[in-house]
Amino acid sequence: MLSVRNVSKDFTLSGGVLGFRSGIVAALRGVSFDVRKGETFALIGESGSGKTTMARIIARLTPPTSGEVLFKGINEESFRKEVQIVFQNPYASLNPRMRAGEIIAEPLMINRLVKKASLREKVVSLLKMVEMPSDAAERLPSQLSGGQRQRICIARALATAPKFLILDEPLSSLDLTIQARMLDMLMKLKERLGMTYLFITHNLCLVKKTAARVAVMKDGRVVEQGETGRVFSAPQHPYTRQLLFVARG
Amino acid sequence: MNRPILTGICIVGIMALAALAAPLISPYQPAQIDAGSILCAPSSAHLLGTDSLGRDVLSRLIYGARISLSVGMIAVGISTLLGVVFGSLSGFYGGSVDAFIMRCVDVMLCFPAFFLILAAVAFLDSSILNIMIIIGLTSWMGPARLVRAEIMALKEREFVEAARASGAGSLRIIVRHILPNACGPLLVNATLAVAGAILLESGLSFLGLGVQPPVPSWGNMLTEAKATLGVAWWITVFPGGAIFLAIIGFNFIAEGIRKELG
Amino acid sequence: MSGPLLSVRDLSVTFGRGAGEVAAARGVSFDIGRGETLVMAGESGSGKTVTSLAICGLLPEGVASVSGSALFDGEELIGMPPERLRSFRGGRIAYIFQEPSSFLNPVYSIGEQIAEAVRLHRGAGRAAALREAVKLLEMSGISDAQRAARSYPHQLSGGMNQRAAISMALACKPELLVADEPTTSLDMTTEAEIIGLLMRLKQEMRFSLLFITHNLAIAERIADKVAVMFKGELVENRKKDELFACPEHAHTRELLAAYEKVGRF
Repeated sequence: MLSVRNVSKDFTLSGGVLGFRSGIVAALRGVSFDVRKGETFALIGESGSGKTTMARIIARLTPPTSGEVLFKGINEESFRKEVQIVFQNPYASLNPRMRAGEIIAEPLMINRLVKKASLREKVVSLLKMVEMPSDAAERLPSQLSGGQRQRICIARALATAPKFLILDEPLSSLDLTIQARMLDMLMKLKERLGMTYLFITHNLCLVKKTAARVAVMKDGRVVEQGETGRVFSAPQHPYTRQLLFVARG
Repeated sequence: MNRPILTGICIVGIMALAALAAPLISPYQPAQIDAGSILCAPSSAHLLGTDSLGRDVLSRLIYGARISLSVGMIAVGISTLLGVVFGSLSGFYGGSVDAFIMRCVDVMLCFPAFFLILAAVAFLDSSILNIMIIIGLTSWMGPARLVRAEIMALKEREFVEAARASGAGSLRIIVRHILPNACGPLLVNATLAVAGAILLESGLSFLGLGVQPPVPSWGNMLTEAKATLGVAWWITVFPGGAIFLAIIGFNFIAEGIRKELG
Repeated sequence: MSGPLLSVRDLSVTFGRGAGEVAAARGVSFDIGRGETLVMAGESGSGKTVTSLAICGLLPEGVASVSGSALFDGEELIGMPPERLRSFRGGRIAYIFQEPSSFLNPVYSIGEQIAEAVRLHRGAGRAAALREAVKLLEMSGISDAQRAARSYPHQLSGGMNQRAAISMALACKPELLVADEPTTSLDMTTEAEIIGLLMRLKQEMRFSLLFITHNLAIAERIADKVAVMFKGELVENRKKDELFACPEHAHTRELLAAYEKVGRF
């Protein structure tokens, strides 16, 4: 469904008197991998590996410097509806001045998916999908807990009924017990709505439990990829081996 | 609602109400000359005394409030509007747009504001409207820089990215997401700017370049007071005091807003 | 010198007064033996940080009220006068925070800050203290210790800053090291290195370790005993193997179930 071909991304550092470049940071270098329809694919990496940049490129929030990202089965015009992203930090990805209901309704309004009259109904049904009560729509982000905020982010992403969902470290800022509940909910939703997931995470336990295939990233490159079982039992690259060693304690 | 805001609002509120209700509460007409009571000390007939032409100081003060407050607010309205527009363009689009606008800001900041205004006033006639516009046109740099900084910071915040991911266009992002969050510091800045504008107008009028007599402005009341300083203290003290109170009032409000924002 | 190093009995921490009172910790009791590693595990808001701050007297005076007892080598820490407490802190009890930046002053170099700690507690001269600082940095596994000592916190990575913080904490050979989520904001590989470093230093310098975390993987790796905090109360406190094998309290079971699902590899 998704084909990443030789994607590279450079960031220019601006500085100087007239805004000229003063340096280049290569965030991604020749990254390639595929995600099959209906599967859960995991992109593993630590900070600085470029995984978040890759997520933003796939979500078309920033263009690659070279290479291409091809989607199959996704209509170009409705890209923003069919491909959605849930960000890492639930505290930062919600506008502190908007109420939860407004936040969830925004993609619906931008894409004119629902008539004004049935907007509230749709918001309530989305809230139900993420296991939140309908009165949560009136609350401000500051009045919600971390887990609840993450659920609002997920509800917002689901508003346009996407086929492809990118989840950037969706569980890492949450308490353990909430993580477990959130994971259950995410996998149930995937089943129910027939989505394809791209998980970006450094949590190897999560990967083992959910992802069929993985790609390991380090310093902007994919150092290893393949089926989860194979990569975890017979890692080829020393970095993968190091990660596994650390995870096993 | 904290103390500074309440105090400030009280002070400014009373002045604003007085200004609005001027025709109703003013005991005399501001230009009304009473040749028999020149330079009278405060008395029951004239609560704050009279000036060298026999005009009632209190009435002139009240009508003067109209001028000072409206010039202050409208000038700041203009400068804030310009500042928001330029700051938004600069902060949002970055690159050469940003570089160009910021160099314009730097150039304008090279000149002391007062001299810019003096130069402008020398060429144009000093109607109240012109003064408002001139002050507005020469003070947009501060808000512009502020808005630019806020936008650059907010632009990178994840909820803005999320809005883009939902398909929001630039205009929607600026209006719905960025500006509401940038409001706070802008409000503080604007409130302080009103105080500054009042001071500017008073200064101009004092020098004879602003509001022209017989229209009363606290500033030009002080011009007349120059000559009578030793003889009639009330002509200096009351307009001066009014300016002082107005500035303190607005500063309190700004302080209070800043406290609320934490 | 027998008996536990730290003996906490019935510790309670309350914030606020009257109607708005909030009990952050209630009736917490536990022991830490000499050379023992106690991992205090719990979710956010469980009171684990508040408890350890209270023991070390690091809670702001007017805001929190602390009751109960914390006997450190026979001396009562709760209610100890501030001057006496200061000689304990850094000297016999050291504290490491989650963010090294709350520990490290951005305007002084790392070396200077460690040297200051050395001077304060051991009274060494300036040059000697700086040499000691470099030695400590080396001990913490920083390869170019000389250069690191001259660097400022913002010039070093999170992992290196945390190593520097550890150096500073261990500068005066404390008997008890309290580490409050020191690796939560670090990468997996860096986290493993820091944990390894702490255990190695603990072996060499023989101090007791109170490690606060929500990550049960760390508990599984390093703990002798595990104390579980839930909503301000200490609900279970047992040897690590026993706790993981047959947890008694409902919340512990909940935590372990979640850990199986998303934490344990």
